[in-house]
Amino acid sequence: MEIKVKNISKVYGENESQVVALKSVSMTICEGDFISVMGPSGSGKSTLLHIVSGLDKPTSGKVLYDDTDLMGCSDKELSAFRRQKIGFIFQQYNLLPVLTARENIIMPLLLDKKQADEAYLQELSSFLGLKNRLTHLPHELSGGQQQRAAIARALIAKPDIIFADEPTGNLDSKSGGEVMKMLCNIRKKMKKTLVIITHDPRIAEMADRRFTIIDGELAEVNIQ
Amino acid sequence: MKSYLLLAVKELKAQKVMAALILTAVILSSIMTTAVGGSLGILQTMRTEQAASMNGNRYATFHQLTAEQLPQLSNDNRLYDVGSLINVGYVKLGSSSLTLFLREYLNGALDAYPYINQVKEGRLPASPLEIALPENALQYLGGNIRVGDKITLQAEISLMDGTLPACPYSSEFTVCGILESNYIGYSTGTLDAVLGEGTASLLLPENYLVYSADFKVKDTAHFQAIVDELVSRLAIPKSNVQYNWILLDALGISYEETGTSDAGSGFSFMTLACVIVGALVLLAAGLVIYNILKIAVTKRIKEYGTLRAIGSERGQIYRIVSLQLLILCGIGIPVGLLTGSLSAKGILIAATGILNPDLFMAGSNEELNQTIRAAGSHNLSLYFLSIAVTLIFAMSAAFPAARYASHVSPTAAMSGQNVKIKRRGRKAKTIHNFEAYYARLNLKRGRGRTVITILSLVMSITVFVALQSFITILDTSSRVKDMSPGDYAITSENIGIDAKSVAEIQDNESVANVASTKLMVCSQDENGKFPIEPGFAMQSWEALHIVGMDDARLISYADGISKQDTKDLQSGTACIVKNPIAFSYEGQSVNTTAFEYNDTISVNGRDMRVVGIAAAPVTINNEGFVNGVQIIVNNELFDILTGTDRYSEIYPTLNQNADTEQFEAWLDNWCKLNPGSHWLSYQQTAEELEESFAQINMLCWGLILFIGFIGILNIINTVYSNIHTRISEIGIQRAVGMSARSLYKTFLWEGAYYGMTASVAGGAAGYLCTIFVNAAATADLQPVSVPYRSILEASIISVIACLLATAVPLCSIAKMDIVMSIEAAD
Repeated sequence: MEIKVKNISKVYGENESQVVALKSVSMTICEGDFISVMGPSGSGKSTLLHIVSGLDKPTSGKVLYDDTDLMGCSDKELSAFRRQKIGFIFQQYNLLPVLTARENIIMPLLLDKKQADEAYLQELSSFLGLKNRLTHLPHELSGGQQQRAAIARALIAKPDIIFADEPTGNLDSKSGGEVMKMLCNIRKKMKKTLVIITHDPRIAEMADRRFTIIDGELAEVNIQ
Repeated sequence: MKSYLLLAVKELKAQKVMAALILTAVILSSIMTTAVGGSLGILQTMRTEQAASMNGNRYATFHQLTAEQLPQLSNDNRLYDVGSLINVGYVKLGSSSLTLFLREYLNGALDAYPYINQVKEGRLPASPLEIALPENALQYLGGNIRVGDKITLQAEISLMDGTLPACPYSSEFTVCGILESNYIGYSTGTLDAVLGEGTASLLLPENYLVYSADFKVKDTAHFQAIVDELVSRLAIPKSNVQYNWILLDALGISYEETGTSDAGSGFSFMTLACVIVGALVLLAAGLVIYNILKIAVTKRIKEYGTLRAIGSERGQIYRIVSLQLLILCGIGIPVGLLTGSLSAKGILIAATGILNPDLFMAGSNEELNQTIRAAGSHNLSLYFLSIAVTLIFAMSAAFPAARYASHVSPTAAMSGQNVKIKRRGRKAKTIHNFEAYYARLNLKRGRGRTVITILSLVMSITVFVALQSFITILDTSSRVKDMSPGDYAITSENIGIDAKSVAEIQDNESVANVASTKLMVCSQDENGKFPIEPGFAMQSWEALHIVGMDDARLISYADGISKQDTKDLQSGTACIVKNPIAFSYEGQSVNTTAFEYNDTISVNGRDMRVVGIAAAPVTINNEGFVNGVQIIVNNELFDILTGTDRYSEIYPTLNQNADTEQFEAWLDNWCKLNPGSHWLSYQQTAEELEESFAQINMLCWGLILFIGFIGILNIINTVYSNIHTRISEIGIQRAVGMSARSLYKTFLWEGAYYGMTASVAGGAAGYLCTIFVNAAATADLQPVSVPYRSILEASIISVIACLLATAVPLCSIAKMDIVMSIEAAD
């Protein structure tokens, strides 16, 4: 698995109200990478994540997933890509309020007309500490539990890569720490690629490759 | 959870108010579409059954066939119910304009004519020279004819194409049966007698012995092609092909002369009315479903965005949203189907009650109601069509919401972007009433929702105003009973009533006064001569009517003419004329006799000045008008012109406190003493009219409430949604010091604005509809007086309904926690 981001730009609005969110950004994400992107609010980090994960389209530039140009894909192909190849973790969890934790977790499979692998589901829920919370509705879970359910949902389809958009942004430091610990463990145990957006330097430092983004310009930090 | 589609079920469970509102709309619309579909099915069945019973259960008839040609039809596998008959001749029935046809039906061909083969007494003929006579022909054939009697008929036979001269003959027949009176033939001046098989070959010369063959075709889509092929192969002249247009029109079979008839126009009218009412309700329900579902989707757009982000395809979102509606349709449609199908006959009876039963080929309202009750309503295809129409409307209404949900950008939906509101007119101005001002701004922020809500209210008000006008017109028509010349009509079509008998009625203590009509209808003989000599030329087919009226009735009939003309009319030097009804034949206008005001005409040597042209003819016993010239004069002049002083119809009016039962018993006895006379109670007719009016009034109110209820559903939903989509805003308003009372007032102002705007638009639309309703009633499109009262009533009701509908969801505001509400902003 390899994602190549080539000179992508994103511009919102026109004329006087024009806002440049990304300025000719390029990067390569390789299999097994743990990447953090850090930047202040409004710097363009979420926009970058949305484009790389196929949720949004750039104004110019390309995103190649194993040499497949995501921008050339149809809506159907992009939907399948999101279901099967990537997992997404949101800052606000975005669990569906009418579904139980279990139903939320298996939703990507159901959309793919597949049934859940019970053993894998049990393994995931045990690992994430949700085993006794699977029948609960989202509002009956704490913030940390909701985010863990969202992580399980991102992993259930066994994707190649996980994108996390400030996954601890809505959590207290204890819960946030637990969530990050779990993400790191999952990455190691399941050998997943992880791209995480954050403005917390402590979380950014956990990554193997670190990027910063300021005013839409991306730069990789030399860890050496 | 086995499938992502189950999310739809869970969404429904989570949004009970939305589900309940949509379910109600689906039930209401399916009740109406089923009732409409059921009514259409009943009407179609009735039309077909009655068409078949009236004019023969056959599609076409070939006349003047030879015995050799018949097998070619009976052996043709494209045809069925092939039956043949022989026209054995016709008999003129006394001085009446009726003709008795003598027909021999072969091999069960009579089965196609249910109106002829009803045996009242005896049996159908089985042997040559046996005859079954219709009961209403007996009086013209010499009084007391009984089964078993022998009668001699002076008959004539001729061929349709006139290639042979008419051949008179006389024959003795044995009466084997009396058939039920057949009044259908009256309209065409014919009655039918049935002869036993073998009669024709005994009586007719060989060259007059020709056959007519009735048949139906299996492939109705190619009916005309099959007929044309048979005509060509059998070398039948086109003039010998007779299409049963009543049945063909009823069945919608295309044929050469389609469109020349207006029979069964009542069916078309009712069908159109049913379709319009159904469409109206569907539109109202569609607006509700559209509005509610769109709001529901908007509220949950973040969830749909999440689904898109985790890989849901657009089609899957479509399916989730559509499935929610399908589930509600699955619950609502069977309920509506059951209720609608049970009420279809009742609605149809009420709706047809006010219309003339003749329009439905029925003799009376009672007969029509019985026909409706008896008509099969098991036309499943129409019920399926009703379901399909409801489903299509519901799904079309759901489509915009489903499209909106499926096209949502995953990033936009999830980012929880603030609502962007476009607003013009930002100039600072003094705000006198903040709640009203804020309510106006709120109405503008969701223009689509506001328009839909107001539109559904506009429809309710329009229906209210238009139906009120309709009811008023019906009420006027129900008052027509006051225009009848008396409480009763006593008729003697043939013999007439002598002056002495009329005096007996006048002398009855229950009777206040008696109006009268004398009528003589004269036809031309073969030499073009009338029994009464008109001093003017007439067309060969025109009849001459002389009508006599008592002075009081004549003056009321001549309403609008000058005093001098009225005086001349009463003195017997003037008359009113009804000119013949103009018509065209094969596209050519036929010349008719026509008189104008101040023409002088002469009858039996007596000159009269024409002082008025009547719009409608005078008839008795509600019978049709035999086309011709009608001369209306006073009773004395009638006696002079016709040489008879007998009355055709008299109309007694009873004293206010008269005992009607006693009078009617006396009248029965009087009729026995005056053979040929019979009576009809206008009072009874008036009661029937009032009953019909009450039914139609109830039906109209049902429709008003039906559509009004749908409008109210829309308001409740809109206000409910407005509150729930603005929870954070409400929290902020409360936090900055807005009282609950002030908050209520804001929403109530919104409701009031809905009502007021809808009242103005609905009043205008209702007025337009009133113009059309009046145009339909008077056949004249012109402005009518504005129905202020109806508009005002509708406006007040709609504003009150809006306020009440707004007040219901407002209860939830009081319970809101300010902090929780503000936090809901995210």
